[in-house]
Amino acid sequence: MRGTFDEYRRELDGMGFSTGEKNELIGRLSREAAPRRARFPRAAVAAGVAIALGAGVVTAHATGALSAADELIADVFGTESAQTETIGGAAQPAGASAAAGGVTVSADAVLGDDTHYVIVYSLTPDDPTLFEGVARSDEGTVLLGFSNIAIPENEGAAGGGMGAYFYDADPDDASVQYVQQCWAETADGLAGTTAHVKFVDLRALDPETLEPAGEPLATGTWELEVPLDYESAAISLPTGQTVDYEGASVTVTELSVSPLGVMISYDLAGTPDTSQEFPQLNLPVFVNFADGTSFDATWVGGFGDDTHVTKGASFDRIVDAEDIASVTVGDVTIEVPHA
Amino acid sequence: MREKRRAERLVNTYADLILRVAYTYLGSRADAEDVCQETLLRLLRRREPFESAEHERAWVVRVTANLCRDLLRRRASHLTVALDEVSEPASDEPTDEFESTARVLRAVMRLPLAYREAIFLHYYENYSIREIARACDCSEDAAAARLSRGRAKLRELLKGDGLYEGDV
Repeated sequence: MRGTFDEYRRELDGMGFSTGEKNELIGRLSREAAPRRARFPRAAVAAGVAIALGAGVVTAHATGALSAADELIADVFGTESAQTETIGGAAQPAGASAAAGGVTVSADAVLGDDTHYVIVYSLTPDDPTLFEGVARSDEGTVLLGFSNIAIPENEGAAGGGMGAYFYDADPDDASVQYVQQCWAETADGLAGTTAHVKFVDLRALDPETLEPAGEPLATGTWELEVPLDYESAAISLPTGQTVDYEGASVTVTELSVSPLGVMISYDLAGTPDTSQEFPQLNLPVFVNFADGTSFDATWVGGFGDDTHVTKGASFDRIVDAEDIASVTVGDVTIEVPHA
Repeated sequence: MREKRRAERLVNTYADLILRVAYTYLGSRADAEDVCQETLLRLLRRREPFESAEHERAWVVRVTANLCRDLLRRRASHLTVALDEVSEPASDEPTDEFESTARVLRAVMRLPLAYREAIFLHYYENYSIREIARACDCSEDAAAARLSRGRAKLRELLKGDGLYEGDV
């Protein structure tokens, strides 16, 4: 060992971050590396449409989040497997599969509760090279899209919303995965019902415009019946609170949280005095967690009309319900009851 | 929560190493800290598993070096100044308090980038000539030459400072 370079190494070893600097760095990285809900490809955002089955529809975009089963859960949410037990684990629907245009679409995993659910599909091509040239976004999603807005239909649902995107769970195989994170308002809850899903023509997206480019990679229609076979872990919260929202009087009629997201319905008396396009949808709603962070469900979209709105949003991770402390609606905070 | 645990492991394992690598390239602690954060973010977001701890460390060093080279290239391509704004050549004074007390490091930082890069990879990261060549995208002969010339130049600098002990 040469003395000079020993000294060089010692001198370099003396360069480093203090404990405080490292803790700050850890905090910054944790925040920046967390999955971002707002940066999905336009195809996924365009698919995040809230629909209503009735008159007086007011629609807007809703962004979505991720889900999977077992390894797919870890891929998509970045959660520990123990967290899947929080919502009863993941089920692999049997027989939920369809083939068309040289691609087989199968529902590999479903997680959910009475108001939110997530389905992860695999798309397996007959030609193993089919997806090789498809561009990836900076966030790692695969830039594919269906020609239709493939929001699932739920039995008895008055309306709902969805966000979706494609990703590649295993770059060494020929398949890609498609994630749908959905919420829906039903009279008796989603658990135990079936989601009817229809996909039309699979296309690659231009990485610059995020619009479909060229001819479809696979032409055809895939229709699947996906059983939402799980037990719900949703928590219904007290309702009846009245808040002022830009001059309109808003009364909460339904409110629930779950490890997957939040859903709220409210009545409006009067029109909110703002310049927003559909102000009725933008009632401030925040889900507050025990660690002091909050999830902003203000701008998530929804459906309804001038007098009644339902909106829901999916978290970008599976949350332990015990960590949900409260929900703030307007200037009223409603505590989440825990056993 | 999982992201925080991963961030803790990566920061505690690699933050200091990245800082040292980046400082070697950039000569500025502030710039090195920026590159450190970017490298760690990329590592945190990476989904593909590493084959081994050695593979992970090599990836960290390579990505840090690449980010530094990118930064240096960007700065070089955008450097335009009016004649009356051109500063005097940099003195031999240390750029920060740390370097003022680290005599060998100070001398290494006065070497051309290609030489100090080779010296860092060989003497701090224990890279072989072949590994240096791969990391620097040059031939093994070129890597060996950079190391040899770097040592020779370092010897001159340390002699000039009256600090050479005859063992380089």
